[in-house]
Amino acid sequence: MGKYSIWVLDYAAVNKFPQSVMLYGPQYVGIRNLPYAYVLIKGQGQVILVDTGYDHKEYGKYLADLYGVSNWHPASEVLAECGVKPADVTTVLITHAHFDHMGGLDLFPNAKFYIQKREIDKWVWALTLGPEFRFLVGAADPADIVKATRLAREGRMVVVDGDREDVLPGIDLRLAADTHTYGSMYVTVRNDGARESADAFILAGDLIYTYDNLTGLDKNDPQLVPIGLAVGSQSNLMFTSADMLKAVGGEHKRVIPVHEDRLKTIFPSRATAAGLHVVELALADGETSRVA
Amino acid sequence: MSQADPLARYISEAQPLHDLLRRGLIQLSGFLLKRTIAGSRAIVDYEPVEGARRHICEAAEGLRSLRAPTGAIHHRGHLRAALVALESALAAALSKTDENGDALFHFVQEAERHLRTVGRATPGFETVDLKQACCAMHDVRVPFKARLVG
Repeated sequence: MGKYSIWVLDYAAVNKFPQSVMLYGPQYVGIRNLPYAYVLIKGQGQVILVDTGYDHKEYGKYLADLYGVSNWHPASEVLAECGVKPADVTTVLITHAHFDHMGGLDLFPNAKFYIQKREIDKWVWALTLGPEFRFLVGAADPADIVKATRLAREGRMVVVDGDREDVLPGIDLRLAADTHTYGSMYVTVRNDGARESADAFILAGDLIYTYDNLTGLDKNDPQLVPIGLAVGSQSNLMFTSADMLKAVGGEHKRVIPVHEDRLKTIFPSRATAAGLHVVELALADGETSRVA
Repeated sequence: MSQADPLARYISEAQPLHDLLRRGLIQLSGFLLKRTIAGSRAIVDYEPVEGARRHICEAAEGLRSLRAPTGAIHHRGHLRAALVALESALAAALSKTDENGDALFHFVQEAERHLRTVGRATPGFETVDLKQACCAMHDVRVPFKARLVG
């Protein structure tokens, strides 16, 4: 039993996602199911989310029609599978500023939000470049910046400059600069509370899309393979993967790629009536399993 | 629809202007966010404001000459309203009297509302460039040959 319960919660999916985006390398090598998910962490008097999902009201039909994003469900419904309401959420850790990760900033009225300073600084900087550089600010939604500003004015947006240990007891934030985005971060949960934890989980955001980023596709000749979508460098992505692996003692399955379809078979899980999945990574003392 | 169609011509001319307004909005919002977080404008750089000024001026010039067919007059009205709000936001960003950013925030919100209304009404006018999103990497609209080149 750890200090925190941790669940990965699907809220939508792309059924046919190209493997070449998930794994840097050859094109046209096939497709995979790509769940969209966020992570719920509960314990120590806290209800924490890692990322918020996107705002279906604004983009849902567009994403469904053009990109095949399907089966979206609101946070109120998704969190209810674990007995949590959006108003219960006390802290949201934003791994990066893409619309599908921070589009729900206004859905959690009592939460305090954490994001990397570099993510905001470089995001705004990239916008001063010409439209020919628009790839660098892809998926940035002005509405999210306005929402973030409102939160900052209310004192609910905390900007983190680099690594921060124990942002909450046993939970660390790590900057992964110039990787998937300029100021991506990952979250380490040391679930035994120890500095050199033997029970750590890393919530990787989009720094990896699949376990194959940590192992490669050849089990007999493992290697780190970066994701195929980055504004930073493939080198930085690989070194970040190595850092994450080191922090969990090399135990791959503890570095959690939220877009990994196989999570539901690696950890205890259940399908909801809506066809989404609840994946239970850890269960704290006194907490009821949500997958039993 | 061909370019001879007044509505098609309007949309093709309005889209780049919308993008300029969108960029101006993001830059002013980003400036305000950075200033709010820093707690003092003295340590926040004004480069985003300068970028916003350029985009807003260019959009203003284009909107002055943008002709809208009857069915698009309301649409153009929202673009113009967004422009007015952004011009006010720009003035607030440069003002010495708006130290806590209240006016800037008010006008930024107003501009964002108008642009969002436009986005809801017209495909292709979304305020977020979803063509660059992760899920767009298999956009079915991109011809196969172009994907090979890309």
